[in-house]
Amino acid sequence: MNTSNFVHTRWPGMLSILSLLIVWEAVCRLGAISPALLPPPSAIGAQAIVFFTDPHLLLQLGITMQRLAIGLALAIASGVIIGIGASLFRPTRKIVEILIGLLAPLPKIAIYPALLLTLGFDNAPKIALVAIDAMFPILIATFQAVQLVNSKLLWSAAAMGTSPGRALYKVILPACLPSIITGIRVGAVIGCIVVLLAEMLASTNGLGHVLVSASRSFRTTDMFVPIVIMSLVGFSLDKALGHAARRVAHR
Amino acid sequence: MPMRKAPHFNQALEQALYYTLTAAALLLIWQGVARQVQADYLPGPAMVIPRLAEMLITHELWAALGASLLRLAISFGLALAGGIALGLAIGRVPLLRALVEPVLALSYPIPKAAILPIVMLWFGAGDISQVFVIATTATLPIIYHTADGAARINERLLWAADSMGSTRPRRLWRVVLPATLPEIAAGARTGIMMGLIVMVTAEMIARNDGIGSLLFIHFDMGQNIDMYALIVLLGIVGLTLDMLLRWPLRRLTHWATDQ
Repeated sequence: MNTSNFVHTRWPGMLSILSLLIVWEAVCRLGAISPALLPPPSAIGAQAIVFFTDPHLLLQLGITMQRLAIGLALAIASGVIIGIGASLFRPTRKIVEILIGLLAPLPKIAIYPALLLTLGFDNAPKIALVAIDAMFPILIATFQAVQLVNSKLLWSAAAMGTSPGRALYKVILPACLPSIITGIRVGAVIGCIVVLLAEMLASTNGLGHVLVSASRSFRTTDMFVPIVIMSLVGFSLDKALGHAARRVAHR
Repeated sequence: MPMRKAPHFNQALEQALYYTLTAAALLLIWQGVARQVQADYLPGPAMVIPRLAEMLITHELWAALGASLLRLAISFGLALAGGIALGLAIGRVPLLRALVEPVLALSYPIPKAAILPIVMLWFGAGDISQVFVIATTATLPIIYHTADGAARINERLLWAADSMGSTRPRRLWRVVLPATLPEIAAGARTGIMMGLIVMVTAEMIARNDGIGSLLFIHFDMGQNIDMYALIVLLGIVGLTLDMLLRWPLRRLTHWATDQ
């Protein structure tokens, strides 16, 4: 069938995104919507170029990226270590399973004021919130993956004289890697969103602060730029990690 | 069949016991840390839990909780209706899927709560803006799961319906929708949890009414015990929603897991 060929290329998707942008641009250009409410994509693009040539704004981007990177690193380390460590023993497995059940449904953003109180107003509470929020999907993915590792693999490794510690590194970790990367993928997107929100709620710097100060002075185009940047960062991280997960799985 | 029911019931009871014990242990650890720190910024549960009980008989708390939950309910209703309809269409029409899927993929990493200040320019500072943001967030996972389920439906069910003279709209309603229910249920659970998160965040940003707004009011006024009480309350709300949705959806779709 002709249509299915068309459907299985990237064409229709590109087409729909492109036509969406064209309609958006046209609606704004024709004066149907005031640019104070919805600026055209071309204006947002132009403003993004201005953003990337302004050293002060670039510094804000750097601050946000630094918080995101440290928070994600903490989330990955704690998620993987707790996930694998807890799965190895029956009692800890049960405890962590229940802890996930109890704490995962709590909207983590609710503890942000408590983090501000205990950790101060600088980088620490933002990094902590990103780490906590991004840790859960990584922990859950790791935790479930370890329990699905085929025990025959472990028996074979033991039969061939592999020590338990070495088996952890040589058998369990590689077997779980695709799931762990999938967990990191979800966590990374959450992290991108949360770092921006944390900065919006209480900060004097970073992209979130840029967004809030633009909104206070009704500079609509400036409000779009941080959101577009963070969306693209999240999108790229998601795509890159998805690619990595596929490569690891097909190895 | 009582033979099957009894172990199931015991299992649920055991699970509830484990949860209660773990929650108690968490509170004990919190109390221990608070006692060690001895600071205003970290009151222990011995102060926070009684304060929560006191707050639960105030009008202020129920007004905030009511505003929050009403917004969430309306948003979730809209998300369910829109998400299922769009998801079924996308799942059953390959061309539509090819057109819409990249747009959905692109909208997935957009920080929904962060666009609230922009949405508030369009719809004002009231409920509509927040409902818009919460509903959009909750719709996306429902669309994903529904489309996925509707696309992977067993084609033989459709042939059977066709051979018995079913019309297409009727087939969609009587065959595709029920067969997709387990996937819809999964999407709905993810959707409401994401909706709850965005609800709290949106209230924190808009600072109109609701639990998120009240949380920051207590924070600003230095009423730390009240603030911690609301955090505990939000934890309970999240846990309750999670369990509430688990139960009826499992009943609704039990036939799927039995197979």
